[in-house]
Amino acid sequence: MKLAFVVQRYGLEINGGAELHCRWVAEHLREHYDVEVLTTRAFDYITWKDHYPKDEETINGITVRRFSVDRPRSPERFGRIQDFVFNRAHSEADELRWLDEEGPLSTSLIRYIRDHRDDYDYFIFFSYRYYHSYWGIRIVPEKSILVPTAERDPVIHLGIFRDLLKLPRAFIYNSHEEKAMINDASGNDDVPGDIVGVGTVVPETSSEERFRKLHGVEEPYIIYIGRIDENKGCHKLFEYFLRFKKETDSPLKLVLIGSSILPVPSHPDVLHLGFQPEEVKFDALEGARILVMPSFYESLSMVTLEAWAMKKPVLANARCEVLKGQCLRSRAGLFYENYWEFREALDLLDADARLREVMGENGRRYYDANYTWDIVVGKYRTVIRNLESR
Amino acid sequence: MDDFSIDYDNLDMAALMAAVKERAARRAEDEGSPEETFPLPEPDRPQDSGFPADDEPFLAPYPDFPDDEPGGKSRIKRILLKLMRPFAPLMKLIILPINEDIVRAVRHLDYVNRRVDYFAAKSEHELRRTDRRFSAFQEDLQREKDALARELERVAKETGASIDALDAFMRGRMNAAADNVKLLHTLAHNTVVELTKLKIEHETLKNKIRVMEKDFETLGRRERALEKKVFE
Repeated sequence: MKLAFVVQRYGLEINGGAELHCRWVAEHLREHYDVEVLTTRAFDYITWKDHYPKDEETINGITVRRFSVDRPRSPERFGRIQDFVFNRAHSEADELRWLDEEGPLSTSLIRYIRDHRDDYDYFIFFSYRYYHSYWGIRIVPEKSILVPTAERDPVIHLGIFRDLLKLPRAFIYNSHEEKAMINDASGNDDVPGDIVGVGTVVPETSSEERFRKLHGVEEPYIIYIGRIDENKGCHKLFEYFLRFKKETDSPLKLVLIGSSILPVPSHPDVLHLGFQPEEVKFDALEGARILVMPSFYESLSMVTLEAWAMKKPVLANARCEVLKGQCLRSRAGLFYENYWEFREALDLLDADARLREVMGENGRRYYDANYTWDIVVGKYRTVIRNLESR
Repeated sequence: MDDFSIDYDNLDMAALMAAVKERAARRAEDEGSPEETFPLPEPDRPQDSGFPADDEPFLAPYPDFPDDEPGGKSRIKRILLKLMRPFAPLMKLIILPINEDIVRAVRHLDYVNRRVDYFAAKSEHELRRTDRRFSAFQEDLQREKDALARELERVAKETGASIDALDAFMRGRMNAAADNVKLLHTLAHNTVVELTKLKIEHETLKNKIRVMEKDFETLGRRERALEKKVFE
């Protein structure tokens, strides 16, 4: 059986959520199916400019076919149209114009899907909101499986997606909350699917000492891993943590791993280490008391799964329904809506080593039950098998 | 955390979070009003919105106006000249360097030059921005046209009609609408003409009334004068 993964960008250098998710799933399904990837030449997700020169290449044993972007996105024009579509009365034509502007506008990719539809058994589309999914699913609805990677933002309420979300043969959701949101928005309850997410692998050994020695960290610390961005709620994390430090005599430090878009406060208890290799990341996670996830928008949060796999409890933003739901289901994390709840929850987790240990164990059990690659691959195979038997 | 009772063997997350929330609310009341709890803002920005809101701004600094001379030297000189105002030209000639006025003039000329450069750069920037906006506007128009064509194709596909038939139908509807607009325009024009005529007639009648009032007054006066003559 031949599967085509259709995604907006693809490459070893791309660490973006949906793209990395797609690559990992494609690489793990390679053992069971003949897998190809159909994508654009883009690397930059702001403009989608052509970057990769080759039409075809092999990445980790998978054939990747790349298609040019007809024209790069103009951020200014896209911003203008998005503002109009989100805030004013508009027509379906306006929404389609927004979709074109959002891109990556690659008509050659869509033409390829149209011309080679018979070469593949199923097309697995990643991210419902982009051009490739909208037009690709319309061309091969009977062969499409959608991994929507949806977040609670205004896009889900655009009219053009209401019908689109009823077209695929099956859905692979990241979380219960995502499924409920998509069902509410489109009324597609009768389209089959499963809640799968993505698997993750943690190293068999990691070393807290190695990390502490490398970066000179002696005190206990909590950790944030990911892009340091306002959209990820980091501005509030800084505000809350610095206030927490001011009001308590806690020795905790905040370690930040990830590239920064937001200025990081210059404070002796805030250590920004920038982007770090996987090994250092897991060493740092090993030594952390908890992982903090202040993000407003997550459709899954791989780093949260990694923390649970490493038996670390999580302190999450309750405004993100997915994170809150995951914390409740796993019984491995607390959540906060304001500073006072942040302070109490952090105090509790910091002071109670046994609670941290129990939550860590719960997290690991939740990870083992849902997010090991065997489980994830098994769920994908079941979805495909069920489609075959219909 | 003494008031937390935790069953570690069977964690009840709902109860645990309720306890955290209760403690947080108590502390908020003790240490600050509940309104001061810094609630997190509602998420209001869609993913992937990392684009600038407007054009790249023009960031070149406006040139600073040059001091006549830096620091205290200039101030002392001004005071000295003020004290010896009657002899100032002579003092300037004897005491102060002869090239001072030339230096100042050159400095001012330099300032003028930098301002000219600044405004030239700014104008060029504005020109480029206008050009970009014009191009974007043109592309928008083209997109609009393409979207309409796509819409036509979609309707044709859904209804099974040919594009030519749909096009002819749409053109017929548009022509009928255009005719209706023309009729409405003529009607509006005629109405305005009739209203204007009525207004003119109204004005004429008003003038006639005024003339008649005057005549009436004159007749009244004449009547009174005749009566007077009669009774004399």
